[in-house]
Amino acid sequence: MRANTDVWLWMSPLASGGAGVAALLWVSWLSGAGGQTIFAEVAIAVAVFAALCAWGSAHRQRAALRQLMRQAGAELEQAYQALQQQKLSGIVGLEQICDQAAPIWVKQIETARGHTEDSIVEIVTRFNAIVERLRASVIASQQTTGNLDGDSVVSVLSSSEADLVGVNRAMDAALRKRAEMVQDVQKLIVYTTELKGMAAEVAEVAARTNLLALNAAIEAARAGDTGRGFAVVADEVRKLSTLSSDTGKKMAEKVNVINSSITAVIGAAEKFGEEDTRSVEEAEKIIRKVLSNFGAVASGLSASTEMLRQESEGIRKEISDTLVYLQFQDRVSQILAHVRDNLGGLHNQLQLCSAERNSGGEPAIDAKSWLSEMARGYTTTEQRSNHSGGEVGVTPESAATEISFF
Amino acid sequence: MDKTIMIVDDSASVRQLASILLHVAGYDVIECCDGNDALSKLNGKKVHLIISDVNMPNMGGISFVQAVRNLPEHKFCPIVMLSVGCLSSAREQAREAGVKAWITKPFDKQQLLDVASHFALP
Repeated sequence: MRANTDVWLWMSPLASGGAGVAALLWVSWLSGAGGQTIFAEVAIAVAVFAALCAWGSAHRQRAALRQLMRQAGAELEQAYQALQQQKLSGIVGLEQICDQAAPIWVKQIETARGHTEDSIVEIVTRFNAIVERLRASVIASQQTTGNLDGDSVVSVLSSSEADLVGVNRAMDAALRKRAEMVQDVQKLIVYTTELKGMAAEVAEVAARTNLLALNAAIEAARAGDTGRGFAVVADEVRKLSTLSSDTGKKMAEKVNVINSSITAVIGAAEKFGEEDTRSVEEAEKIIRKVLSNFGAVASGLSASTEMLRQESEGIRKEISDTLVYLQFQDRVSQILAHVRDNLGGLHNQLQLCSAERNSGGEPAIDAKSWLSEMARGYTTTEQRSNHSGGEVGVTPESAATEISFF
Repeated sequence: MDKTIMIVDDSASVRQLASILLHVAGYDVIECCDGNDALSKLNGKKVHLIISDVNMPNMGGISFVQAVRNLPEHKFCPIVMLSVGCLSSAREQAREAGVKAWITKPFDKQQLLDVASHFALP
């Protein structure tokens, strides 16, 4: 319909104009050719008709234009009304997105917050278990190696050294007693020398007695029969002197044997005594060396044990101190909880507005008071700074704790 | 007998951390997740110190302190607040409610122990 109107609007004046121009050209041709009156009148009539047609066409065109302007005005009015409606209801689809997305965001934030909270609790639990195990290790180490650390080791070494020195002294005493015994044995040599002298004296007495018996026998022979008895006595005396002489010799021999034995014993005793002395000295040196080595090992072990104990204690303290830094979770959790609550609040607000609009009302949110309400819930300085447009900041966990006593 | 300290905080990690530190220092610790939970656990229990958060669900820290002050057996039990909150108005509210000290989170281990020993020697 609209296309037909446009064709009419444009074709009608063009046809009228064309007919008018053709009529005028015809009139001028007839005038130039010396023309005939009847044809001139017809041409004028055609020109007038064309002029009338052009006027009618222009009139219809003006009417069509007015119609078009009215339609455009109506369309503009509709567009304006639509724009006004759009202003009232906001961006199309935004409310729907918020309505559906806000609860999802709330759940996502809560899930993330729950995950971190659970994880931190688990980490704290594990770290605490490590701390407890280290503490138990340190205590067990102290109980087990209690005799090896510090003064205990020194006292054990001192006690051992004293015991071993006692053994050495006992050995020295034994050596001294052996030396005294050797001296006693050496004294026997004096007695054996005296015995040897006495044996020599016995031999001398026997020799003299023999000589005396010999003289008595000679004198008995001179005396004849009267001296026969005396001769028997003299013979017996000579036999006794011979026996005495033999006994003296045997005594001397035995004394010599005893002397040799004593000398051999003394020699052996002196030799063994020197060896024992050297052995005792050597034993003492070895004992001192062993004690020294033992002391070095014990000191090293004690130092190592002490170092392990200190390291375990240090690690325990380090982990214990590290636990404090996990407090960031509380801060993060509070910030996320506020964002969650704010999103939830916004969702509720949008639902209220939607319900009000559906019931014919014109809902509106006071953004300023809504934001102020949101800010009232902040607890951290970072939240306030972020809200007021400051730089995104993070308060370091190492920041000094503030304590106020009332 | 070890002294008993009650920790009231909705953050499980903070409760656990404070509990560990105080337990190692020789205290018995009772953990509570909010004011209501704490009031139920206070019933008939001898507590030497209460350390409480401010912002908690169900029953907040200030309301909890006011409730404790109305309990005859716990009327004079020292209470310390432990919170990230730094508003002076909140501190003033706490002071008026009968709180003895305020510790700002994140708390330092030694300072927590110092405060604990200040009010309840282990």
